[in-house]
This record gives sequence, C-alpha cells and structure tokens, in this order.
Amino acid sequence: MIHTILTKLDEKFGLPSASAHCDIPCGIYDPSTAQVAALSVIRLLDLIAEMPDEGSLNLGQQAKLSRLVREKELSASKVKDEIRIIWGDFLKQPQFDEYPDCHTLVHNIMLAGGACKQHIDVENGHKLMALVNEFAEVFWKVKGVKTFKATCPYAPSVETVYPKLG
Amino acid sequence: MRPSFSDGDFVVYLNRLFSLKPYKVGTLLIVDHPKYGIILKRVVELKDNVGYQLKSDNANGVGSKELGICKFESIKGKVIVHIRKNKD
Repeated sequence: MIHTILTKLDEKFGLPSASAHCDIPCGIYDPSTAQVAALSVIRLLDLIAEMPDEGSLNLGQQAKLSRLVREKELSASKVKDEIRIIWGDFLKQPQFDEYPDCHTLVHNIMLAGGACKQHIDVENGHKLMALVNEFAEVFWKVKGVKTFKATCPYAPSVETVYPKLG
Repeated sequence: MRPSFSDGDFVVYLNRLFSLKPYKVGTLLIVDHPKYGIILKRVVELKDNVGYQLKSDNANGVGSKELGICKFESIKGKVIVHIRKNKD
C-alpha cells in the first residue's frame, strides 16, 4: 500500500530518482560497435554503386540489390542505436558540461544515419563515419584513454579512430 | 544494485547534515556522483577524511575503482527506508 501511495505521489509530483541498477553490465560501453556499423554502411553503399545503373536488372541482381539495401538499413539503424545508448546511458551532465557540442554531434549522427537509410550516395556514408569517429574520440577522452587514427584493415579501408590501450 | 534494489523501488534518506558521526561500513548512501549522477552505493571505507570508498551490491555494477573516492559534499545522505515495488 505504501508503494502504491508513493507511486501516485511520484506520478503527480515527480519524485527525484536515483540509479541503482544497470541496463547492461555497467562500464561496458564501447563506440566500436557503432564504428563497425558505420563502416558497413560505407561498404554496402559501395556495393550498391557497383550495381548496373542502366537498363533493367535481372532477377539475381534485383535480389542482390534488395539484400544490400536491407543490410544498409539495418547497419545505419545500428549506428543510431549504439550512439544513442552511449549518449543516453553513459554520458552524464559533467561530460556534457565538458563537451558542450556533444548533443549537437549526436543529433548530427542521427541525421547522417537517416540520410544513409534514405539515399544511396556513398558520400553520406563517409560523413556518417567522420561523425562517429568524432564521437569515439570524445568517448575515449571521457574514459581518459588516448586515441589514434588508422586505416581499417578491411574494405572500405577508411580512417578509423582506435583507443590506445596497454 | 540488483537484487538489493529493483526498478520502481522507493527509498527515504536522511540528509547527511543530520549525521553526526561518520557512516559505518556497509551503510547505503545516496550520492550525487560527478560522473554517474544520482546513485545508490554502499560504504566500503572512510578515506583520509576526504570522502568514502563505495561499492555496488551487484558484481556487474560500477566498481569501486571507477567510482573513485566520493567526497563528503557529494553525499546526499543515508538510506533509512527501502520500499520495494509491489510484485505483480
């Protein structure tokens, strides 16, 4: 009964909340999953660009294009989801005070991810990856970990931000 | 802090200004942590008259090392009542 009364009070007046549990094991946040998804988006856009652009596609080509578009959709959505989780669950006000452009960066990633879903321009994929790399640099700075840039060792072979561990 | 605390539980805390003595080991505190926000953690040790080393009840929770020493001024108070969510 007491819980029910407090729940009603909370609904009416909005009692302050405290965190006491984890959505996933605490501390396990990593932008690399978003970066791999963004690299996948670029790769899929490259593969779509390689498809014939004139005349009609045969059945096999239509099936391939359908799969490429579907996987592009899923990868771009994954980028948005992974970034949103880190922004919403890991980053707190002190980090937002230290990095005041963080909200704008995350919003731009959401927009860039949407553009990758809606269009097939490879340039959109590169824009998305650049923004996700920028977010990764902020993340690792928050964690006190230095980063370096290197070309990822697989297609699409673009510059990727990596943490300097060990 | 599972299984000690679950989503939807309520707690009542006594403001630290009313605590005349240092908190004992095992005391559950409400902390305004500079990195993690408002959190519930348990006292491990009083450190150098600066603050408290805290820990999570859950092994998968944020560890003492990541929490660091929580300074006195970040401690909001001690949990004195825990009202569990009604089981559905």
